[in-house]
Amino acid sequence: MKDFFHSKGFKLLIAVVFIMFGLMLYTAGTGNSIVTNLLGFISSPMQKVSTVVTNNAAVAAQSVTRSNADLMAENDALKKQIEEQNQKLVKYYTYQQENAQLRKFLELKNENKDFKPVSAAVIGRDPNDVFYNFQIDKGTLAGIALNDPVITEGGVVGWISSVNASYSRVTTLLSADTKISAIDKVNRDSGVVSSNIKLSDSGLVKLGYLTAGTTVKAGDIIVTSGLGGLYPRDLPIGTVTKVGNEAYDVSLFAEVKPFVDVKTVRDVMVITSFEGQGQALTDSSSSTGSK
Amino acid sequence: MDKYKYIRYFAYTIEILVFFMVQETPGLIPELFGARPLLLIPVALSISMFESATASMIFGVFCGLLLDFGASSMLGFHGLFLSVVCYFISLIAANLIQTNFLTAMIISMIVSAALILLQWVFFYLLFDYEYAVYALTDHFIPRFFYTVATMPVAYYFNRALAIQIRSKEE
Repeated sequence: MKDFFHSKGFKLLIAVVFIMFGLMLYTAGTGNSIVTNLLGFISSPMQKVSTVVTNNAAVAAQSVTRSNADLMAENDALKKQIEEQNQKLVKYYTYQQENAQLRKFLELKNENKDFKPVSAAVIGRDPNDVFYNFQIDKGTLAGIALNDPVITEGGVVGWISSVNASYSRVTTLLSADTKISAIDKVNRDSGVVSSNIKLSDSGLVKLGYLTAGTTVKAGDIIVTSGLGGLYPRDLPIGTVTKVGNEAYDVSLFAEVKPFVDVKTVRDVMVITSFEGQGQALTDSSSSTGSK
Repeated sequence: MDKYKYIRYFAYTIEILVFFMVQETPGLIPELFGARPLLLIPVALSISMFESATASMIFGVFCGLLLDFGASSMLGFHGLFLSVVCYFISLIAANLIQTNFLTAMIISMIVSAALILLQWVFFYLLFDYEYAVYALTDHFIPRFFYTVATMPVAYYFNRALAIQIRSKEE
């Protein structure tokens, strides 16, 4: 036993334990290190290649693996869909008029000229992550910074929670760490969009801190309010599916189905600059890493 | 003699990198009950069953750091755990137990359970997220079973490497 404790291997083990412990403390404090950057430089190109190969293989496999019966069924379904679409076309003109009104109301006009977007691809999803956060193939070299909003053409996806030279981590809308100031576009009731693991598994978020007299209702569109300077205003988040009472207080919350399916999203855009960015960023929000 | 050892170590390194990519690539491994396996745990454990304590510890650190990197957790958490575990598994495999499929599965179950439980405590419970029990039963436990289920692949693969790339004297 004495020999064991005096062996070279055991001394090396103790040294490794101290180094790992030191690394833990260092990265817990700074959130970044040379080792992380080094691992990123090695693994990011490989992950990029493997993701492209996997995506192409999945697309190729779809056509090979489908039987005639499947294709016939799909054909029938598509014919049915055309019939439905024709019926919908009749309603189209009615909606067009209504849409013009809503468009004005939603202010969906060319207000996004101040955005400086960087497109990026999702290259990694870790099995340890329970909130569907992911890794993208762009980092500080592409101009991405901590807390930058991440979107698709559909709406908000999340925010940059850690950034390295060649890759970044995106904390999604479904994460319990995400808090976004949002408003109901129809009646301008405001609240905070957040999530928890149960909602996250169902692909939902909630708009919390609604007053007892709220007029938020199912079908309403939720957008970012722009408060805090972390997200541009009027980025679409999702639609309200139901309104309910909070378990521990008198406030209400609305369940919101995000426009973007962050569990499967493959390409995103990072907004590196926008009008009003960081204007009211408080110390607390940046230090906790939540938004 | 040394030539075979270094070729083997090189093969392990490539294996670890490939398994890491497979683990991290979206859509490559199908989800089962909302979970995906941590492939590097069985890989590190099975290597340590065939290699010396020091080499096992180094491969444990490597696998652990990659796990930390992938999980974006504190760099060193998995590295520390796997370095110590792999070091002692190597000693145990050389001196106390037989190296076979059964012992590999038992070791895999014990170590994976311990590590995934620690992950739950350090990265969920201590962060004070809601529904901790739900997270354990619906995410962490399925991940444990899925991880253990990949041990046979890692064990037989590394066993083949360890036996084939070895000089007669070793």
